[in-house]
Amino acid sequence: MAYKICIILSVIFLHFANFINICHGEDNEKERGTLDGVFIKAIETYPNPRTQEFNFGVGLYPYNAYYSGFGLGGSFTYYFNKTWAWDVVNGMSFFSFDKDLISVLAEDFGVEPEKIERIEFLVGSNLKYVHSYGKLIFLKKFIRYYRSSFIFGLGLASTNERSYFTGNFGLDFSFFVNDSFSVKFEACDSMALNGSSIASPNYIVVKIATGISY
Amino acid sequence: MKKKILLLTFIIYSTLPWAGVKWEGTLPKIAQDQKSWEILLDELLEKEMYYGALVTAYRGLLYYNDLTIKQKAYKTIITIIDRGYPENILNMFVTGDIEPADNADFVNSYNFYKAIANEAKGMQRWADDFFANIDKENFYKYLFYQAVQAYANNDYPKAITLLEKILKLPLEEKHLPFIKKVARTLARVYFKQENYLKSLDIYESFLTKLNPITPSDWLEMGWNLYYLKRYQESLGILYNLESLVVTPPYNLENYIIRALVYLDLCATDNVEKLITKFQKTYDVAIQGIINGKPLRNYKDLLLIFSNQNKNFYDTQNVMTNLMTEYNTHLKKLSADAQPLAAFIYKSEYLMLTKKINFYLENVYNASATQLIMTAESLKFLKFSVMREKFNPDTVFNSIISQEFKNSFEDTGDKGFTLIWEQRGDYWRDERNKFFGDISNQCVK
Repeated sequence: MAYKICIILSVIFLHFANFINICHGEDNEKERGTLDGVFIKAIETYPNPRTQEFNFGVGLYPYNAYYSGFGLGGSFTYYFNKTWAWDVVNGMSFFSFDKDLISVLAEDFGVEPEKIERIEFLVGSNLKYVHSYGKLIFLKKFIRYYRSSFIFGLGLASTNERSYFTGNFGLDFSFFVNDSFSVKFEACDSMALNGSSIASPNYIVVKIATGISY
Repeated sequence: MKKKILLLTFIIYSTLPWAGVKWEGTLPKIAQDQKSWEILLDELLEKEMYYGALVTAYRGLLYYNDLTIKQKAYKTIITIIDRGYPENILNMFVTGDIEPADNADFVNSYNFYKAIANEAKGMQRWADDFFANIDKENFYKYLFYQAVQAYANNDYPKAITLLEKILKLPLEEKHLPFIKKVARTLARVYFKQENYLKSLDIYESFLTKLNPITPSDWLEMGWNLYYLKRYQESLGILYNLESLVVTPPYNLENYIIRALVYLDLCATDNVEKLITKFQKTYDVAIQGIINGKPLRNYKDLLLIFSNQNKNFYDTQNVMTNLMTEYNTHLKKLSADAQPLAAFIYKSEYLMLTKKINFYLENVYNASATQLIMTAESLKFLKFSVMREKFNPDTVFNSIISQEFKNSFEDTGDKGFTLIWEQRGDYWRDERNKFFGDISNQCVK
């Protein structure tokens, strides 16, 4: 009997202790971010208020079996507000370098592709939706601000064979060094709209660029 | 008769041969070679083990008579002071005498510290002799010394002129600790003059932008904001003192400023919370002091800042840094230098352990006084705040009656300002951007 009472008392005690703990936890939660009950807020002024931006950079088109495309290009972007921007013009010219596959086909199988369609340039005009602003700690030392946006628009892809109208979709991240200088990483997929239905060319280009705002 | 016998005994004792023997210590073998000492000092400086280098330099002054060694030791000591060494080192300038040569900065510094050391010991003629060898017009440390004297004599305009003159001198980056001292003194002089805006500007634009920060600068900035009636910003700045950057000892003025802000805003609830927090933290020690228990039972007292305990904090700081260097950097020294380095680090640490015990009683007393004074001030605060709420002067004071919430506005489309609640996160770049969302609660 005494044993049972002991168990019941222990259970009650544990529940009580747990209850206290929960209440204490809630208290701590309420206290977080306050000073004597006064809510503390931070005022953060976003450091890149400039509306016009030039970008210059390099790109890589790695997803072709026969060659890699290396590109040089630039763009001009106008920011309407903190959410929307217009990439007025965005162009990149490509040089291509053959991959091993061509020599393997020639040496091992004695065949050679008759024609390889190589990208020569991409040009487009896109809308940008800025979905997030943030900051990060770079190399555990430097606080840097960044902005990220979704890209969608229309463009033209020109190859050594023909030209295609493209629909563009992508994502970019700009990391700000100061008010007027940023480093941008962009991945954009330009999908041909008027190619054959079986194998529409699809150019996924990864870019790194410097942004100069004014 | 007894006195005569005693006197006779002393005279007889003084004629005995062992009475004249000097007190002497023997250097351990590893410390007897000057060359090893020089090598160690160079290595310590090269590896940026400055606390160890300072002790080694001082030991050089004590152990060896060679003048070149003494010059090297003094050069090291001055270099380390310039880097912001925390403890008072004037006793090091009593030990040795040299004819300083080399660059003007070193010569001026040596004569300056010698002069101050002699002045502190009341030997004014010696001090004047050393002062005479200083370039009084341009030597920045002497100008600062004059400024501090003017500040102590309440001659604020003279202090400001001198401090501003120093800040216009072409000082180098290595002088940053000195520049910080000058800027902080200038801010304090402006504060004494009740020129709070100018004082605040120094904290806002320079001192609180440095990394690592000196937390007391937040406190002093908080005072300026309080006197400028920028209460929300004052609370915001004080919020920084809750972060982990702030290590003991904790300054209780933090509670006083907050209390004054709540008093001006008739914020009874917040005062209650402030008092509860204070009691929760210090009530055990307060009750112990009131009941006359031994202060040494309350180790929390060592975590409370008092101006009188400066030597204790400095010594504590030196001990911590010495041990950190010993534990983490000693192996970086060459194998030949390690035994001497270990001897110096260990023996200095032992000496400081003894030294710090001498401070302890005064430290407990000073901190206990500080704690009781703060507790007494806060005790009646709640009633003062409630009284203030219905004080006719407050009720009809339109300046205090204004709402503060509107002080912070979005800057519009060109860039933007975000305001968000903090959840215990402390970003370095937000330190000066916090504000307490509090409004005036005095009855209108």
